[in-house]
Order: sequence, then C-alpha cells, then structure tokens
Amino acid sequence: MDAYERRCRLLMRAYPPRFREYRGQEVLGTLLDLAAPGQTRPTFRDSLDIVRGGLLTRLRDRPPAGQWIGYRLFGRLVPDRYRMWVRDDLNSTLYFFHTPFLRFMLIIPLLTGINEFLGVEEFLRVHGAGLLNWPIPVAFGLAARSANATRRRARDWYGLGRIDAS
Amino acid sequence: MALREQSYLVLLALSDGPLHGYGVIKAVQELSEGRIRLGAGTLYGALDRLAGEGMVAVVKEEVVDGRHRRYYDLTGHGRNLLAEETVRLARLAATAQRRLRLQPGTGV
Repeated sequence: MDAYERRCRLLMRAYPPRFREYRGQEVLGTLLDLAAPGQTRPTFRDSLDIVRGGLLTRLRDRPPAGQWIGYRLFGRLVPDRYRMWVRDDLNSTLYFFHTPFLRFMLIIPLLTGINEFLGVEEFLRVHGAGLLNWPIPVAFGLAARSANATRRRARDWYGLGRIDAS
Repeated sequence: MALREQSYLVLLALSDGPLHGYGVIKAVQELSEGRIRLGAGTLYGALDRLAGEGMVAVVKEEVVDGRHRRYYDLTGHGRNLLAEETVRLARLAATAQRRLRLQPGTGV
C-alpha cells in the first residue's frame, strides 16, 4: 500500500462503516484510477469531495430527527431499514459516551426536581444519611443501565449478531 | 421532473453502455467539454441516489489489477427519463435561441 492509497483510506473514514464494507473497495479503486503517476496524495479538491461525500452519506441514511431522538434518549427502536445504522451506532466506541451522557442530561433535571419537590435530601439527612448530590450518581447509573439495555434489545431485535453489510 | 445537471450528465454517460466509476468520471468530463470533473464522493453520491430512484443499476462486478470495479447501466426508467429531459432541454434551448433572436448554428 503506497502513501496515496493510505491517505485515501484515511479520508474514506468519513464514510460510515456499513458503506465502507460494501462499497469501500470500489470507491478506493476509482480514487486509485484518478491518481496521476507519482502522485502521493489526493488533491485538496478530491480530499474535500470524499469527506463531503462521506458526511452526506452519514446524514442521508440516518433515521429522521424524531426517530433519532426516540432511539437515543428513550431507547425506542427505529424501522428495520435503519438496522445497519443501528449496528454501526452500537459498535461505535462513541456509543457509551453520547448515549448515557444524553440520557443523563435528561434524567438529572427530573431527579433534581424530585429532590427539591419531595425534600429527599432533607429526609435522608434527618435519618442520618447525608447523601449530598445523590441525584448525580443515581442519574449516571440509570443512564448507563438504560443505554446498555437499549443495546441488548436492539441487538436481539435486529438480529445484529447475524447480519452483515450486504 | 427536472434532473440536476450532474445527474443528467451521469445518465447521459451511461447511455452508451455500462461504465464503472472512473469511466463515468471520464465520460462526464468529455460530455461537459472539460468543464465538470466529478470527484469520487460526488460521483458515488449521485450513483446511489440514481440507483435509489431506480434509474441506474449495477450490472457487473470485476477486479482488475487488484482494483474492484462495479459497472452501472441505465434502467428502462432511467433511459425514459433521460429522453424526456433531453426533449425538455432541447425545447428550452430552442426557446432561448428564439428569444435571443439567434439562428441555430450561428455558434454565438
């Protein structure tokens, strides 16, 4: 693999994994065809074009905003045609950062509200358990748990152990 | 339905027979007299869209010198649409020439 090809592969990471598995070799072949002899890197214009194409592909085959929010925040499953998007999402290392984080941001005001409204902290303090800021670890635990539950449920529902990109 | 110029040129490139990605890029460059040189990202975006609309289809795959190639061809629907669009463009060009009071073939 020469420098040109290596740079092309790097740029192609703008495309989602499901696209790279199915079309990656073909796009790479075309990029190699486009190269002038001795060229060590794609031109700036070509590089921009690949990144743009990759980002547009990511935008195009993701679920619409309503379904995305339902999935990300509440673990509602999206229609079957987005199962490859779900697979890539679950396999992404980011999944355990953004999904629990967003759910945490949703749960924390609820728990804080409950805390204020019902006076939970005061109740705990009176009964000898001074758990200051208890909503934070509880919200974190709930968020991580629900993200994990969504992942398991989606894997079962879409049969993600079995399918590939074809 | 009016096609984007880019989509029109891709369809027109395929009207002579199946082509792979690089073949389409070269054909579009020729058809546009060097004006449009599609990048790979743009090309595959357009091909995906056109395939999604049933206008082009993959007809052959092969590996040449270690490079994977997929050949695309027009579907019947794609060919009809291309013909309709060509008639529309010809009519538009004729109208434009009338408005500009030019005779066809004057090269202005």
